[in-house]
Amino acid sequence: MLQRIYATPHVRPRPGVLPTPRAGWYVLVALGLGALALGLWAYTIQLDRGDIVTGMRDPGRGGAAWGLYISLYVYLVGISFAGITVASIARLLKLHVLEPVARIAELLTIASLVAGATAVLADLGRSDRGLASLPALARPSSPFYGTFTLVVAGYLFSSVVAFFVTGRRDAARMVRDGPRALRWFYRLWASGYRFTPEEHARHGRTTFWLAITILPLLVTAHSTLGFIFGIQAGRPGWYSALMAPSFIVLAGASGIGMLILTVVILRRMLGLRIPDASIHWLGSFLWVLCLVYLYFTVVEELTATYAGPALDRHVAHTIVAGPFSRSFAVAIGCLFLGFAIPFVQYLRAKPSVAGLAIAAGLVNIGALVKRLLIVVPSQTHGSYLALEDGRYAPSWIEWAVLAGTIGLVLLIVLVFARIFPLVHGEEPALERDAPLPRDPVRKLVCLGWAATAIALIAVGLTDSFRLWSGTELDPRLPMAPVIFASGVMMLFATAIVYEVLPARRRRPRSPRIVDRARTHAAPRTVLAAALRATERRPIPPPPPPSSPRSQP
Amino acid sequence: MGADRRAFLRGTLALPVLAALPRGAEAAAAPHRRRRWGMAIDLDRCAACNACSVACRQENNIPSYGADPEFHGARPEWMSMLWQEPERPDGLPELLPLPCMHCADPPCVKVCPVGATYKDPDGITMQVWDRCIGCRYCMVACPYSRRSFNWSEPAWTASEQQMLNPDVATRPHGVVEKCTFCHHRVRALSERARLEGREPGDDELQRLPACAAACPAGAITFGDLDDAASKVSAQAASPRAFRLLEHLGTEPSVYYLKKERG
Amino acid sequence: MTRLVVLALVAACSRAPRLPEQPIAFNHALHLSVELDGRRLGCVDCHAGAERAEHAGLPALRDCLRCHMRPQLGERGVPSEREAAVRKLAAAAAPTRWVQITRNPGHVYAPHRAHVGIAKLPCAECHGDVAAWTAPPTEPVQRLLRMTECIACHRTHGASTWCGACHR
Repeated sequence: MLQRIYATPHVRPRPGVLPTPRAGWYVLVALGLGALALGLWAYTIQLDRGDIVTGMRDPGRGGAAWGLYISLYVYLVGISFAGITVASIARLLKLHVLEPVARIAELLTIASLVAGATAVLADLGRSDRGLASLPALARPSSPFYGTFTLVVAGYLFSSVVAFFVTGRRDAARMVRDGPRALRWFYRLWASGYRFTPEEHARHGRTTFWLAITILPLLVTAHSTLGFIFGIQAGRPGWYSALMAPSFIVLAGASGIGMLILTVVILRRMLGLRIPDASIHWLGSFLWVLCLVYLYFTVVEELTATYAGPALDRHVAHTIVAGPFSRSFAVAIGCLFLGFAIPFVQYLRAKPSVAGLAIAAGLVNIGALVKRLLIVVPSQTHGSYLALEDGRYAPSWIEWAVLAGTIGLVLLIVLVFARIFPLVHGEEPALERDAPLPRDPVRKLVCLGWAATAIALIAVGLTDSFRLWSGTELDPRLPMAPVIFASGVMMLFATAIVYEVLPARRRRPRSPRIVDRARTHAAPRTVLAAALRATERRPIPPPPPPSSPRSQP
Repeated sequence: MGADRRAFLRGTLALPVLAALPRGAEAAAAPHRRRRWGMAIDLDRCAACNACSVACRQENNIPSYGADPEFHGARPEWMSMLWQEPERPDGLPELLPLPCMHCADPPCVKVCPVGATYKDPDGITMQVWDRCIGCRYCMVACPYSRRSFNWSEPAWTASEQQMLNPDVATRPHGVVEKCTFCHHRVRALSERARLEGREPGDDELQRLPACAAACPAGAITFGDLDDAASKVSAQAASPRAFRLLEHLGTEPSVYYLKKERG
Repeated sequence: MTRLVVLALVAACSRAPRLPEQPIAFNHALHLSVELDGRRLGCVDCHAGAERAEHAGLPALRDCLRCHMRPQLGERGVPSEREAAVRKLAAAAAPTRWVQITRNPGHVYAPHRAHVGIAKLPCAECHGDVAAWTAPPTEPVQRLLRMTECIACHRTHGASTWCGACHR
């Protein structure tokens, strides 16, 4: 069932233990730390002097109110889309060729979501108020609500749950094989995982159901990102039903690209046992998604320019042939190459990992620039009653914060690579409906947990909509959006409860001193020695060595 | 210190009580007639002198940041004057004084994540400086581009501080601001009238906002659009009246009057 | 929740600042119990704006001099120090510089007009038992400074709790 794992020829595989990195790892970590420090320092300057240090200005009066930060936020959340989708699809469709990259994909999702949250915080004019007010006052009628609750709470948390649940087995292995200093961490993660068929069967179920429920959540969360722009009739260039789908597709493309890059780099730096076949599969996803996105771009362009309203045509013109034409050329060029290189490789059946890595890097650059092109021209040149056309160029502060967020992603991934195996250890295939003994307690507890979660979701969401507030402006319950988010998180945590709840088993009676005395083990206390000396019955032979654990 | 603590505890204990209290109905609190505040701007009288814009800046403590080029596009402006070059060489330029439209169906209110902007029952689209988190979503959502952001902390010289209007709070950096139809003046007038047991008269309302009061041509009229006897409702029903971007369905409350050009 | 924790820390660590002395150590209890021409002094007699204006205001010196122009003897036939202080200020033709103790922040609009004039709240409702004060207050009225108190009272009385009603 599992393919033969090809070791990359230049590295000796070391099964079961953490890899020792080459020099490249240290260099990248240093770069990541430097970038993060730069980003933080730039942000403190922004906090001190105000957002005037960015390149953003009032739309309609000479600038754009949203620029690199929002583009970066959308880009980072977009990257996260691919990670967890690849991992979920691999499990749902039993695509074993993708299993070696599944954990890296999930890790990338988590890292980029955390970085995305910091990017949007950097954009807020009053991030202090944002952190204090959003948990109490967030309104679901705003697409930003989906951002703050569904994306951060639902999406990030569900990814963490999936990550946790799928990593328990390897964590249990690491308790035995890993560095002693981190044993507490592995034990916590393993949460009492025992290598029994029961655990495995339960794990098969949870991974299936998690994958099934995470996918609609992903699509919803990403659609709200697209809706931020697509529902605004007053802004030509944004008002489009294609915004939500095209955001999802570009998220997939850039995410797969970032995953390919990450896998290739990590594999080289750490000598991971990831076969080329996994990367080639990702490459196929890449060119398909890039092609679909290019198709969407053509559709949008035609719609805007064929017989569209004057301002829509103007905005499209500025992007394709006007002030933004160079950026447009870069973006489309990168995305086209991101399609062409893997496609040609596919046609000629001559796959090359290096070529894929280049294509992946180009797709990411193209994606970020394209997102900037979505956000900015509709503000600088798409304002109906503009006093003047605008200009926008990110200032060094914005670039520094971008570097900081990328550095954060880099650090999270790299540091994690040193404390936990990035490739799943071998395990028997996960079955969705493997036989399980009856466990009514577990079922009851999980049902109760899930029911509480659904109740919290219902209460939190309706109150966030101000349905019970009468004529007042605020929710009736304090922290109603947090109640909703907690409900979503609890619902996903049902998977953890289901897996981690200890199974009913008959506990062996702890051996009494008398029983211990009746074995051949050397007496450890004076009392035991005395008891041994007074033994009149013959001591039974020692039991055979304990049965081997089900390990390969 | 003891009084502080006690008061603080009472404050915290008030929270569960607050949650349990029945919500007061707006109608019971405000037995006065519901209004629909609106404005009419007569473009045939407007000479683009900008007195409205200047008066608005003075009334609402809008910072100007001098002539620093870094602040281009970063100077808040509530009442703008849109000037478009004439189509014909001998024609007149198009002039449009632009306050906030106070739309009846405002896109900005829909997109605010924290409810820092909301639609007052009397028709004013309010902006709450103290709640705004500065995400600027309302700014990009406004089709009329009538919102400004405080990109920096306003700094007032000593003499400028003396000129600040105490009736309007100054905004810190990081919040969005916009025209409020001089809500503070409307509020004070309503209270004074209510004390005297009457409703504010249309003659008091017509020149109530700072821009209307300052216009030397009397081009700006304010009042209750639902009051059939008010000047603003008569102007809104005039054949010369039109609104901006009506096809977007925002239902603005600001009417412009202009003779059809031949 | 974070706000409450921070508030708790701040409240626990802060102390009301030391305020300078008032120019006259005014005795509310005494003045409110005095009967003149068959009528007692009311709040509005000195705090003229309490019913019709935004701020209640503090009395100017001439309001005090309406009664204290002529030298009067104190309770036991001894001239009162405080009365002497009033006449000294009048002689110096200096304005009475009262120290405002309860001051709402600049973004708050809480007019007396609406609360006393329209809602007809008694002064003691917010300011406490003023008739028992024998010396000027030295601490701000805590009840007037917390938004939760305002909101709770507004809800009880059916007044608006929308932001624009009370914020500038």
